[in-house]
Amino acid sequence: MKLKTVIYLVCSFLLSCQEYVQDPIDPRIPKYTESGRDVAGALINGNPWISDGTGFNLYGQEDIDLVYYAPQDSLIIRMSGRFDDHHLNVIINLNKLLIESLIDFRNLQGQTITLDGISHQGVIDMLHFVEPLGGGLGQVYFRKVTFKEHTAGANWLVMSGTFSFTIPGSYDVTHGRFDYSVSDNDFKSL
Amino acid sequence: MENEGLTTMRNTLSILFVIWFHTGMTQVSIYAGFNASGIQEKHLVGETSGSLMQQIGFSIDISPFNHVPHLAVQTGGGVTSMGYKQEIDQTYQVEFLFLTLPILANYQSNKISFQGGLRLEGLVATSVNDGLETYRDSNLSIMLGLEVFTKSRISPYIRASHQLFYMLNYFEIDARGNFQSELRDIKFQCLTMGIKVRIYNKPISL
Repeated sequence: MKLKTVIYLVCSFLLSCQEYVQDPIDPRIPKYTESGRDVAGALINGNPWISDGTGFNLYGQEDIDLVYYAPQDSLIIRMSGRFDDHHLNVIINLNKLLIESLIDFRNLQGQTITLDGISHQGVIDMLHFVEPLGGGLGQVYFRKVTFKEHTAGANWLVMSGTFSFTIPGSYDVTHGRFDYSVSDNDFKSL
Repeated sequence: MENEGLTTMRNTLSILFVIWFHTGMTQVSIYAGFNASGIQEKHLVGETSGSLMQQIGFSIDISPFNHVPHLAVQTGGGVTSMGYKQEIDQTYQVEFLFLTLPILANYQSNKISFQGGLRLEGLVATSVNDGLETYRDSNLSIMLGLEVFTKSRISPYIRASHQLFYMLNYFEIDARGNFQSELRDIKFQCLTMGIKVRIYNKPISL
């Protein structure tokens, strides 16, 4: 009888787990981690946005997109997720940082970049043929960027940090955090 | 890495086992009860409240001094669950399952006995993903207890406990994403009521 009770207790604990590792302070969003868990989250206008790895782009389904546009020296960090049962991408657009390849991300380690809404900006992309809303003012903090050379020759890095921005009159993105493991395959240079 | 709390429990059990074989009287009981766990916290978002959980286990009363029969050391092993609820946009319930090892002084007075001491707690499971990484893997509670009808085979008990260390060691991050400081939070306070059944009550023959 005792054994059955213990098994029941353990099973009920295990079965009640959620998909993401919830933040111990605010369980609506993922816990801040620095181990490449491929997760991001934030509160948008006070409601949770959670990455779900179902973002689609020209190259297929991705957790995160890193796209570098060489002519403008522009880097797009696109994190796909869900908000209020709809797809919603959170995009950080950084310019003139010379992040031309994955290895250059090492320069972002420990940096807080102010999103001024012009050269650097936060963007909300609701998809469904609605024009993305840009001009987000705030900051992105790359707290830990660990670059590693894979034994097979491919490079990869773990990129963790926080973000927040406000698009005047529409979206207030707070408590943002991300923790991604990114390889050469996730980085596109155009 | 081995769970430090469980290692401490194993060492403590070994010591108690040695004491047990050098003493004259022992009593073994099993118990089960309900555990009303409250939470002491400062940082959690939303309204928090405690949960009603369960407790099962066994206890061993060892009387180390034949000439002081009223005084015993009470130990044993058990499984205790604690938890809390967090009301935000919905109810988020977080539950913790501990292996426990109390080390209590037990004073027997007629049909009532009083206990006081410490309880070692090793965290073995939680209801959230990676809870064993998020929360402290062991803790120590100060504990007070009362049992009635201790001369009979079945006796009710009530116990109060308070954790001495914070369960959570995390970052304090503001809404804009700035790291403020290290954050330590969440202690459980429990009030447990249950039934204890004595299954063995004899002198040890060495």
